[in-house]
Amino acid sequence: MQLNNRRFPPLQVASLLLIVVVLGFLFAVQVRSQATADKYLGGQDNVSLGLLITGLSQSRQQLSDARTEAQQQVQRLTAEAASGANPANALQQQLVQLEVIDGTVPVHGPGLVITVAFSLHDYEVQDMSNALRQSGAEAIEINGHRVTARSVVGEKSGRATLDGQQVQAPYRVTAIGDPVRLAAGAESIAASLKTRGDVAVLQQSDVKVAATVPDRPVIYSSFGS
Amino acid sequence: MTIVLVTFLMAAAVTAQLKASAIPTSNKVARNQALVSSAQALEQDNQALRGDLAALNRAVRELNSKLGDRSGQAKAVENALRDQKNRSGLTAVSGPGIAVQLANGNDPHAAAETKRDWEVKYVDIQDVVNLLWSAGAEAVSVNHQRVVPTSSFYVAGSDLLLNGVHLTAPYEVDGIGDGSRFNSTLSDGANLPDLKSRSELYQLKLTWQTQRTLQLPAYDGAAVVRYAVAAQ
Repeated sequence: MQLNNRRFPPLQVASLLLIVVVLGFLFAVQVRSQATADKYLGGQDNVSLGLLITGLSQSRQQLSDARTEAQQQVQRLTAEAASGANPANALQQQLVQLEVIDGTVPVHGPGLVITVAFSLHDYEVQDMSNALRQSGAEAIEINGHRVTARSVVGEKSGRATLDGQQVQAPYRVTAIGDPVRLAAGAESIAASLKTRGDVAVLQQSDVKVAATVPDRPVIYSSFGS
Repeated sequence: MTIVLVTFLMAAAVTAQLKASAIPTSNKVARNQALVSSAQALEQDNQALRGDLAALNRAVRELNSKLGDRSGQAKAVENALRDQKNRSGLTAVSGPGIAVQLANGNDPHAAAETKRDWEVKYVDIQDVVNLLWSAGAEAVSVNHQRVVPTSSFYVAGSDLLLNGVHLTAPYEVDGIGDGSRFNSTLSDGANLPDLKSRSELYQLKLTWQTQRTLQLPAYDGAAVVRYAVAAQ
């Protein structure tokens, strides 16, 4: 009762309010930050977060390299545009690069060959090609079939198929790319398969990937800019 | 002054109590938060790099167009280059097709369930994408990330990195092509047996609808060839 009748100096009331507000704010920030972390984690453990960070770091490196490459390309094309030369070659180089990415031309370069002596399931073929792309493979061939992320991996009569064609043991997997990164990826693939039979990895300074992807008709797509 | 002091102490005590109940008292939280911060910082860096790359690619496209205007031969190559970019997933695309939705099911909270089969995993996404390719898809995206020839599906716990982009459930896989063919392929009991069985067991969401028009974005990641050389 006494308190109700008592008049508090404005400064004291203001201080009191400020303290309460600041404490409330700090508390809310702490709880929200934890809630955000929980949402982002989605129940992930530290190992999973470590994997995520590794993948994102690899991506950052690739994007950074691609930016440098694109900056140089802009400089080259600007110089080309300023000169009076026939620009067809500069455009042709870009076209060939995309054909390599798409898997529509035979290629060669540094890389490795993995040989697997025993039969693999469709998902193992898929995981292997996926792991090689993750390790920077620019071209992959399995038993004479060019493999990209658009290849159809299936299984028929207990045997793996690639774009509808059967592939059976022994498998010869050829990949072209950064020798160091590819070697690390290939070794982990080999380690995961070795318990089942003979697997060998052979690094080479120049390997050929002669196969190309099958032609895919475009009927339904309308392309934008 | 006494009131201010008492209020402060009470507020501090309540805050401390609430914080203690909200956050486990171990350094696990701090460690997790540090890892989450690192991942978030990397995602921001990558997003910025993708922005830079998009701007540079626009500049390349404009320069190519200029160069293409210089001669008939150059124009023919520029047209072929544009067509190849379309085929490689470097341009946005629209058309009819199918949208497949996948979302985590219900956690049964059973000790024996160590495989977390109620969650959508990266292999599930890979399987759906593979099935759409097999049914003649001309373009595919997962949560608006285009699947291109160089794409890799990378597992990060229960999440997925596609083209280096962190994706989490729920997922939508869009495919452009013959919608009725996609529909019959997905409905075929012989396809995606594991996913369908888990969908029944754990109410994991697996639904699809044909679409008259879907819009898929262009691939916005790195498309660089450094080691593979086209054979002459």
